[in-house]
Amino acid sequence: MFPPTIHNFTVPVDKTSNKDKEPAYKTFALIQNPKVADMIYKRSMKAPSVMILPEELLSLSPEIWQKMCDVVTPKWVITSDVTGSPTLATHYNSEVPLPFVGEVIDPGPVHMGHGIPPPAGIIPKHHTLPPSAIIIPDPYETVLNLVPNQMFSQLQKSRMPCDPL
Amino acid sequence: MMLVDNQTHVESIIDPGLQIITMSDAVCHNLGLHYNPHIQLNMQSANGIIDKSLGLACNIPCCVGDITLYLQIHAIHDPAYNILMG
Repeated sequence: MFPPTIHNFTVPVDKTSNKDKEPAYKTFALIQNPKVADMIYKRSMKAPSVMILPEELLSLSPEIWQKMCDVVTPKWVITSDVTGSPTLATHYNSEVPLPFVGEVIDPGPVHMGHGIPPPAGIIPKHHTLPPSAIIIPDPYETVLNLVPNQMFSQLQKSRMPCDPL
Repeated sequence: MMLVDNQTHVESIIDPGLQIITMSDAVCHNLGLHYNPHIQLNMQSANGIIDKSLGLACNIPCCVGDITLYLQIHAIHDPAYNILMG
């Protein structure tokens, strides 16, 4: 709705003043300059080869902008601290046996240097956590384990006394 | 920054509005953490999109300062964060 200052409710709005069809803004790079294109065109018409400055090249080609942007944009890379991280198998070949198949994992405590506990991935399943470990339970898993019992107890309570079951 | 699985420090975000702890699948795979795909959540984001989580990684040691917490972390496919702590 138009504010009352420019819209009289008894008279239709003047269609000529509606500027919705005109673009409100346009995308424009600061390095763009139409004069550069004209200058390069005139030079290319008069010489077998044309030397272009980096500024002129960036002014002419948006593809170069994208490549330049990709090169100078910081990317999220893995630091050198995880050089020892395990590699993941991407393809599984059933004919070639997997390494370490059939080996028995030592169920004893796993120790690493400086008293640092080993990563969870190499701890055997039956290996228990330290007794003083602070374990934060997952609420969803807790609810998931509790719901069947609660539903069962509610069903027990909701039964009529005369129900033979 | 939190030392996850005694391997590397990962930048984490604390979200008081979140009830669980989630981790991106990229970090999860990079650290070699295995998660249980039988425990999956329907996660509703702030923009209303509902995605299914990949699974639950149990008892992942996360070291904050001198304190080591064993967290249950849900793996999420391609989020905008590394670890989101609820």
